[in-house]
Amino acid sequence: MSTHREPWHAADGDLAAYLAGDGPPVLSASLESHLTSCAACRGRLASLADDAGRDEAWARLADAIDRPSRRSWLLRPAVATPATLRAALAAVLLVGLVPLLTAALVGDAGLVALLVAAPLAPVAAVALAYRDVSDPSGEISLATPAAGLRLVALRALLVAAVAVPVALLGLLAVDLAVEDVPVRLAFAWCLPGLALAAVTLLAGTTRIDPLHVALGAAGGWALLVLTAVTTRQTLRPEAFADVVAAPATQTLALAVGLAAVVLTVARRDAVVYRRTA
Amino acid sequence: MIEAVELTKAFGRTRAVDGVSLSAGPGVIGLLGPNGAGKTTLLRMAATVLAPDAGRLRVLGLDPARPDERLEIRRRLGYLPQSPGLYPGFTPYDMVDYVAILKEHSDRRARQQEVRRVLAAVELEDVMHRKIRSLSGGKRQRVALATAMLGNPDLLVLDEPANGLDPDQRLRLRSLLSQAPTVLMSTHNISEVTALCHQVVVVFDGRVRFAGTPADLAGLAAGRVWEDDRQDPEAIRSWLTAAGSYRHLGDPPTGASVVDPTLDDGYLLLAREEHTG
Repeated sequence: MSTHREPWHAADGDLAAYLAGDGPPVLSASLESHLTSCAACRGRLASLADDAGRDEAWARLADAIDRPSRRSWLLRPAVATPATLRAALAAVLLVGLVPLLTAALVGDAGLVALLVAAPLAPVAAVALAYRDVSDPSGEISLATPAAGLRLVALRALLVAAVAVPVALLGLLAVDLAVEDVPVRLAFAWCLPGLALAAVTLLAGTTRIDPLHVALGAAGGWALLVLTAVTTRQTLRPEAFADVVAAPATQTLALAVGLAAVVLTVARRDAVVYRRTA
Repeated sequence: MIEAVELTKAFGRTRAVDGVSLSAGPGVIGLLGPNGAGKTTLLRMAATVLAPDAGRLRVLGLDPARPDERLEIRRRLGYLPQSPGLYPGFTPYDMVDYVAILKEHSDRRARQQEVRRVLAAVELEDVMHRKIRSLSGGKRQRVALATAMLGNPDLLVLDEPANGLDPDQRLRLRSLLSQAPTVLMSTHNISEVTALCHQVVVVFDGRVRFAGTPADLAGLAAGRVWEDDRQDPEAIRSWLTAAGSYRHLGDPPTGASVVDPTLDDGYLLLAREEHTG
């Protein structure tokens, strides 16, 4: 089979349609690609176009290249930079994988570390979301209408929209793959994690640095779990799991989380504005 | 356009802004003062980035302490902070487009046109698709300036806008600023105040020491500037001019050749009075 191909040239009608901007998109894209390598067709295109038409065509091409994607208003503020994208991916992976990890580590000492440490991840994420480095435009963004809870919420919701279905699939996988795994343990870290994250979020409406609150919340959580476990006079992994997954712990976390969310929403206009940094 | 009454802001024990009262605009208002005088803090409060500790502030006739009015101010504001902190991995186009999204330019095509317009206004069209990290300091400053100009804001708050700009760009900046309804800008460059500003506010140690027209500021030194071919120990300030003679500030001796004061003379006199209490 010969690899030699006869050069092809665009039909006058197609070139005219391309110039007028009313050609089919696929054909126009193909023509654009061809024009970059075919001097003959470029010459014919130039002869077909008057100056105004040519300028218009180039402007249209430049616009097409520069045009942001249709969803950029949502994605750009949320995952515009490698740092924000990494944070979002890490959050999604974490939320999705923790149930599977829990299943794998159940009955093992690893469960202790997991159940104590996992709720702290959302706290760290929220605290970092408030840092100056988390926004690619630095202080400029603080003076825009989107500044404050709106931007934080947009990022959080985007991550949640991906993470929650992943987490549900993970739960399903745990349920199907490992028999006798208490599913409640797999998700026991969720509510405490959300509660601590919500408390950190609330700090953003005050003058207190959210990072300090996050550190305080993390220490408080670790202390709470250790105190509860030591009162049972055992350090077995099951004791940690029982404490974290206990209805009292979960109810308390839910109450604290809800109260923090309600307060944050009520004080939403103070987000960022009161910061002294 | 900007009114402050007994405005105060402290960071720890330092009173960065200490009971400032002023009424400024429309037109270009220049904030003059040494480093650490409180200019940046004043600008950050005017840009709704920072909440005052005490006092009353109205920007564009609106109260930034009220959430709904603060949002309205942000919609009509362009802000150039002292350290814009642009994300180096973005191109100028990405950066300005990102801020345009935060500024509620939600229509894709209109936003694209606006981004190109402001980039053209600061003469960055040829580098708009290069990474910011590869641009010079002056070009980065122009990227930040372009973000401030998005949407032809009613008020531009600019912290040292001429930083890093070459003489050509400074001239271009002057013509850009002259098109904005109200500009509140800090500067170290007195020639910029002379060329641009309708009003000048001099700040020392967080307090306003002078507010008026540039001619009024120069007028403070009327009858107190003289030139001679040698130093005068009686003068409160003396310096060698480019012409080789000495220019003196203070109470001129009998028979001295008194000359017309400039803005520098007025500012230096104020600074000297501030220094000596």
